[in-house]
Amino acid sequence: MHQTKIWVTVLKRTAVIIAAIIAFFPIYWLIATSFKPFEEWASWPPIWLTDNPTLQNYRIVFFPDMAREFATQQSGSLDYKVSGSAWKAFKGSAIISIVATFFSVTFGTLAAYSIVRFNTGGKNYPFQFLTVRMVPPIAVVVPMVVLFSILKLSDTYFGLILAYTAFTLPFSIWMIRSFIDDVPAELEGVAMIHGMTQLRAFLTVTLPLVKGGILSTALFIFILNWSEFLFALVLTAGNVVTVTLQVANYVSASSGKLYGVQAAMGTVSTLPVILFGYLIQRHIVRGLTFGAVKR
Amino acid sequence: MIQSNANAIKLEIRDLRKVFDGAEAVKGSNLTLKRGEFLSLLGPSGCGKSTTLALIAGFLEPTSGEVLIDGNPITHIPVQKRRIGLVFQDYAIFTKLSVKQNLLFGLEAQKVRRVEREKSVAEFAEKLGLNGLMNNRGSDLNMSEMQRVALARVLVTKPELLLLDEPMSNLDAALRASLRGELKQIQKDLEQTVLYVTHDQIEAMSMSDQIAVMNNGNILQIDSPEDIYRRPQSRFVAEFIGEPLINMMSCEVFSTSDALLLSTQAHKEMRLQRGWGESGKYLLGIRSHHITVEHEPFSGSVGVIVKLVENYGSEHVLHVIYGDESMTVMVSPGFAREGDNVHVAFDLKDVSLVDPATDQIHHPDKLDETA
Amino acid sequence: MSRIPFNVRLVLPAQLTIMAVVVVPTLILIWLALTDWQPTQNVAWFNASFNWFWNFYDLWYDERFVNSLIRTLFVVVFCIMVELILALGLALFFMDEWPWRKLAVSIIILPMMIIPVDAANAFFMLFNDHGPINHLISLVTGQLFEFSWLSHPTWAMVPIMMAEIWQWTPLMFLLMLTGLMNLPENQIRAAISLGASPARIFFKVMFPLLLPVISIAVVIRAIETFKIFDPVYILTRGQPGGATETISMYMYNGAFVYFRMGYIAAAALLVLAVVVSICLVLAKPLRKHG
Repeated sequence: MHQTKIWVTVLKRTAVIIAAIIAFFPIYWLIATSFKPFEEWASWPPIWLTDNPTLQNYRIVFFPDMAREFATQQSGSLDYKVSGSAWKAFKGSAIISIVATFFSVTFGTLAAYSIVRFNTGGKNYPFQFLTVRMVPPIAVVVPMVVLFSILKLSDTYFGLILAYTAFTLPFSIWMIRSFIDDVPAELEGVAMIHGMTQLRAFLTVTLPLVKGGILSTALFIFILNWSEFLFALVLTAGNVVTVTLQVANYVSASSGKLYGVQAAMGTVSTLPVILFGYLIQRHIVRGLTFGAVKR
Repeated sequence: MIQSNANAIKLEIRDLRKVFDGAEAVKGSNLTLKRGEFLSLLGPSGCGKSTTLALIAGFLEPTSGEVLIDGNPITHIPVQKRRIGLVFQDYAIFTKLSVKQNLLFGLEAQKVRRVEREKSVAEFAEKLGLNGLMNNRGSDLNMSEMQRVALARVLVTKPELLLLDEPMSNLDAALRASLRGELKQIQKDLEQTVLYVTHDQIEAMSMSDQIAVMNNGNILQIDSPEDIYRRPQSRFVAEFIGEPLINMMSCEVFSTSDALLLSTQAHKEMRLQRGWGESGKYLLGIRSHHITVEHEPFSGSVGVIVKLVENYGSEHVLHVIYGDESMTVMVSPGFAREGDNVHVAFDLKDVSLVDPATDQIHHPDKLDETA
Repeated sequence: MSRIPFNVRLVLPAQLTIMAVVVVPTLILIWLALTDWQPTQNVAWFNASFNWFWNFYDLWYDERFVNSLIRTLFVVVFCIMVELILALGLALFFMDEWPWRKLAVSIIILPMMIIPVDAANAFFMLFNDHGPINHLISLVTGQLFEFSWLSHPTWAMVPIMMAEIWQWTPLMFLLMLTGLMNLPENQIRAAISLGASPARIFFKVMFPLLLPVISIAVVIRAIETFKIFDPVYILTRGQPGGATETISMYMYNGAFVYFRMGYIAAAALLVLAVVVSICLVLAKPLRKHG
């Protein structure tokens, strides 16, 4: 152990440094591009670090006037997608992600509790929820378009909220289940001997013990919702916009992809997710493995 | 392996120290272990014995000091090359391998020829009664099987030194008793040098040639089991060893013109040999079964009242009132009942006198040498 | 309502949501799969002409569909193999304590924290004709290299798979690291003290102990990778000529670019049936630990 040869250690550290550089480089490029002026977006040779940093891309993202001006400068024509303010996308993503997370975690907590304490539906019941996660969403999206048009849910916040709630339920049920599993049932038993109803015992005894876990689950699900792309792409038509849609929208007819603007939008939109991701780093493995692997 | 010198020192540790985050876990230990000897490192949990073991095995690097095997320092030799066999507290059987693969593991790693490998494994499987288990998975063994596999697995590699880390603490009492005998027998047959870490004094007493008692990172005393028991050199050793707990009574030593005398609360003016030491207050340690007890008074006895009788099965322990102190005395069952009057006396040669200032022990029967 | 038992009432909200969003659409899907509904022909979905099983017959001979399926399976196998090897190798370097270890872990897991669409965009820029990858190759080889990765029928898969591997190796890494840190330490110590080389310790002791975690990781990643869509959409949209279509991209193009809803519904139903039955088998490792 301590006697390992120096060159082995050097080799190990070098490998780790290379891995860290590879992990960070695309993110660096995204951020670096977001500060590049238009001429440098796709110049040859590529600019690795710009000498003329500018906030123009961010201005285009946040100020419709700037976007309009930019579009006129570039081509004389105006692409509605470019000029659309990112505020709308942030608002859309925030509403949808927060509400869908709330529903998913609330429904998930109730179901998980029922499954853990009452063995509801038998041993295989929880797997029914997992199947939802195994199905490629695109396979369900085709009939969902039909269903949503019947229910008038197409291109509405509620439509996306419903879809997101359903498709994150497997995570919330399984993750919260693994947290509730860690709380001995005897604790509630004691409370019930003292005259509490089962529901009250759950709310006053178990819930406070798992609230950290539920909060982590909520953040985790928020990340999934905020990052979602396919449902947003198919189930909306311009009335509802999310941040992921907005990123993909920065394409103009004349100049193709607007790298700098996309990078700026990408940088801003991904920041909350990274922050939340590190906050729940301890639980992220548990989340993505449905509670199968714990730290 | 034939060693030219049968008394050669196999293991030596010199001024071994280990500091963890400012806390000194091992405080400059010294120890020598002769070839073929069985030494127990005995002490309460947290005394630094496991750290010492890890330092010898090489899993930890000493802060200072040295470990030598056959006189050669091994402090900077990697664990893989030390040829030190280890048996862990949890046995660390390779759970995903069969028993046979477990036994073969060390020989394969050391690139021993196939024919020899098979021969040695068969030999040790036979010796430890594993023949019926060879194809079992490591995860399917019970505790005693695990222990035998762990032993066979290291013994088959003929280690220079075998370290055992509390190998019986997971077993129940009956199994422990039978395994103590087996382990000792195997060690003697193979003339295997063993360092055995334990907190159980019975294990240490029954198997060891030498016992090193450790507390607070210090090795307090290294002696034969008899001497550890009869001649503890410090209060800790006296109190750690022996069941029931050694009696500790207040006493006073004082000199008159022609003699040195010792008085306890009940026994007055017992004669110590001249030149023994200084007068003053001491603690008198005496083990329960070194105390003679009769129903009738006898020479040198004092009368005491039985306060409580504890049943140990083959023996009873009387708790008697001695002066205003309590004392335990070992007797045969049915000797006395609570409230009885009995008479007790003891011989000064069995006594340990604890200097309360230093907790060091003086043995009155050694006077002649020092006088 | 009051006659429904308490525990069933607790699962109702979750169950009803799933019914509404998954079960009902699946029923609609079955109907659509048996029609040739194309919304561009101005026929309501329930009036579409019934087609029996002709959609499935056509799919069988639809090279683009079959190829996208094979391509997706290739992506799954390739990406997971690379992710597993990289992650396990890297995780082995993190078993002992060393300064900056925590920081290094935080940097290495950064990619999995990024929104996939943004990650794909970053890779779009990296693999641009004028991007830093071509620049690097130019610098190393000393001659101008301006390869159009994303419009080459074969090579366009490289950026897609790179993006996927880049983003999800960190998860694999975290899983492997968790697995390694939970290994029984004494078995490894025992192997060391028996004189085993690091390679022997890894293959004979650590790897077998790690197998349960590896199988969970592979199953979960296989399920997720099979659904791969975001990087394909951002990087190529399946172009050129469907050469980079994965199964999700194929279905998206079929349903929302060519508007062949009935036909794609049949494909979706087929995939659904296959995936669910495979997953029920593959989910065994999860079942054991669940």
